[in-house]
Amino acid sequence: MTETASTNIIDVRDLQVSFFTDSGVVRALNGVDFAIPHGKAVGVVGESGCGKTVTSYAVLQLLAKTAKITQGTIHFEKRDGSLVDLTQYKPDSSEMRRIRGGEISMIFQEPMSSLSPVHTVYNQIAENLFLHKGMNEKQARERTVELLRLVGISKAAERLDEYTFQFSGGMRQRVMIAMALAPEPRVLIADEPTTALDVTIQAQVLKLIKQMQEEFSLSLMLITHDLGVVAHMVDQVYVMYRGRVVEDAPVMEVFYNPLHPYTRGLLNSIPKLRGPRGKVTSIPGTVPDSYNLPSGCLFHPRCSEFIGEICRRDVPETREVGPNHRVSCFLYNEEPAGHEEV
Amino acid sequence: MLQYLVNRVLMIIPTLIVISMISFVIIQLPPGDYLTTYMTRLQQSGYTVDQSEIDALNRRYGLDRPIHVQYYRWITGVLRGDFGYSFDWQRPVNQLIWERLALTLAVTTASLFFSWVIAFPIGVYSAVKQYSPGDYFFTFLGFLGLATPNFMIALLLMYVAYRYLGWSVGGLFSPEYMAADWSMGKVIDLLKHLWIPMVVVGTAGTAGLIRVMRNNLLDELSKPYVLTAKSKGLKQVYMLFKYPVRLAIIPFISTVGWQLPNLISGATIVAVVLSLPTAGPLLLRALLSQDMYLAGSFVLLLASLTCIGTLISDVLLALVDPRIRYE
Ligand SMILES: Nc1ncnc2c1ncn2[C@@H]1O[C@H](COP(=O)(O)OP(=O)(O)OP(=O)(O)O)[C@@H](O)[C@H]1O
Ligand SMILES: [Mg+2]
Repeated sequence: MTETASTNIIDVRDLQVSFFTDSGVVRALNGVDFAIPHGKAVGVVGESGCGKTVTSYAVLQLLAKTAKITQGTIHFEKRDGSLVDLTQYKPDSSEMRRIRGGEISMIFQEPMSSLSPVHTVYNQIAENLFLHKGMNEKQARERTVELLRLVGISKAAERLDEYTFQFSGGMRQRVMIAMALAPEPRVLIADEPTTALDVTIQAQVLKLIKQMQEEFSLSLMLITHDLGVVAHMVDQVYVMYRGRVVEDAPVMEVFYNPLHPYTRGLLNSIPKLRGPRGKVTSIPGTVPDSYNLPSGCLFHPRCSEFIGEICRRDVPETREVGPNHRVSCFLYNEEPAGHEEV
Repeated sequence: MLQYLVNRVLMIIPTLIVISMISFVIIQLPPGDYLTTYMTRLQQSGYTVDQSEIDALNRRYGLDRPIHVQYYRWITGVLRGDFGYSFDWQRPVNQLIWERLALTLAVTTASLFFSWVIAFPIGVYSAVKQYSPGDYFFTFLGFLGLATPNFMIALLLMYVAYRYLGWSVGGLFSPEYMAADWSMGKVIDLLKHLWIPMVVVGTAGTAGLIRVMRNNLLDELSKPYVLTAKSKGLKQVYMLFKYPVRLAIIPFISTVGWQLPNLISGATIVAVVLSLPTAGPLLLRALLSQDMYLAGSFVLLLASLTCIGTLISDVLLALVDPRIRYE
């Protein structure tokens, strides 16, 4: 399993995840490819239900019992430099538990309900220090105070023994960040960390995350459906649609040279960023249900640049169209379907 | 926390006053009183009753006075520790009730623990392994327990214990200890007899408690903080008990409040069937013969016990849930 050190700390290839529910099989991920380079920040964007959360849960093996990784690999480079495939670990195995939390931490969307209401802030943060850093009570207390100061909580030493319901939403999310940083992870996954917060608080929390990422040279996976957030936060953007990455590119490339019709649609739906002033368009149609996937390119039923039978019939390959810019769309096939008679 | 406790205790006082009034009124409600019932019975069997004797009794107990005066006399007596006189037994109420109340308390507490000890692990198991064969099995068993009348289980258990184990099972004591003073031997004898009423009274509540625990935990398991806890890399079982189970216990504890009255009334029926020397059968008899002071004292004390039970559960609640403490 051990290979030479790579540029990516996490490398996901052809990841497929299905939920086996009473009402049928939900194909949530249909071959996701993505990678987080060491110390870099990547953003994952896409409409609700496209599989952003499922992707992150798959990495941490936090998926519901009904879910199954049916195909693909999730390579992770451990602290000691060895390369492991996380899909090979059982979710509750000690190897996986050491990585989950210890090396890869997660920040969740709802700071209110994502923290326990009956345990003190200290209790919840120190737990990580005991588990992953082997600290004793005294060290853990000192470290917790430091961490709380680090994330900008004033009077940290006093607030340590308070409960989370005594904190405001923004402060709770700071506690959450302190908690995620406690085990000194190397990867931070933040799943819409500011969606539940006030607009004014959102910017502060995002800034804090960015600051922490730079200070501790964390590799960051930032999940959001807000392209505006991504602009200041990440290096590489992955655009997901129905359980696949349809385009990924350096962040400026995405804004100035979006190639996939879906990416363009997403950009046009943001006010101010693009298109004639005041004109905000939305992508027609909605994300269809995942029980019955369309044939060919998954986006073709909603695509404004549909080019014919091939879109309906074949799954487009992902092609490198520029430095670190990949897209999977027939518009960019070099030899557009020689056998096709349109 | 202290403030909360003090408030909670102070709140009990008006509750008890109202309860004492209501119980006194209810006992007075049926037409007639003990003396008239008593006289009729005497006259029917051919005695002539001297009117002056009746008047003397009436005056002595204030039975000719309006109800609020009677209540006042009784309740001031109660406050001094005098619960009045039982006409039926011709003895002070004090001599009749305490041991029976203690035994009632023993039976209900034991039943409560029994149902908790059974319901807690089964509820946790059923939630964690939702829809597994084990979950279905316990659900089935639980409903069976819920649907079977208590006295039925009592009779069955007595039959099995007597027929196949050869134990004497009626009552709470073996004949040799019945009238004996309290001793180690008597306590052990009590424990030997206690299990049948404990199982019988506890069973009905257990089924409900299993459902409560299972549903609470299922609710908690789907909450985001569980995911956070999992994402820390904690061991599965540790995570389960530290977070979701810990929170699921909160409503579970508050069930004591409604469990206690159920247990006490459930225990009455069972006590009649099993001929237990608890409060139930005596209360029943006192009510039938309109033995007002005895009945009133029982009702008052049982209600107080229930109040104290809920107080204990509220304190426990505040201990496990900081959100209550900090309100
Ligand atoms: N527990 C589950 N059971 C069945 N299907 C699920 C489950 N969790 C997720 N899915 C399905 O997986 C797909 C992807 O869901 P996911 O939560 O990853 O979306 P998302 O991109 O994070 O959306 P959002 O922006 O709303 O958070 C959806 O179609 C959803 O219906
Ligand atoms: Mg999501």
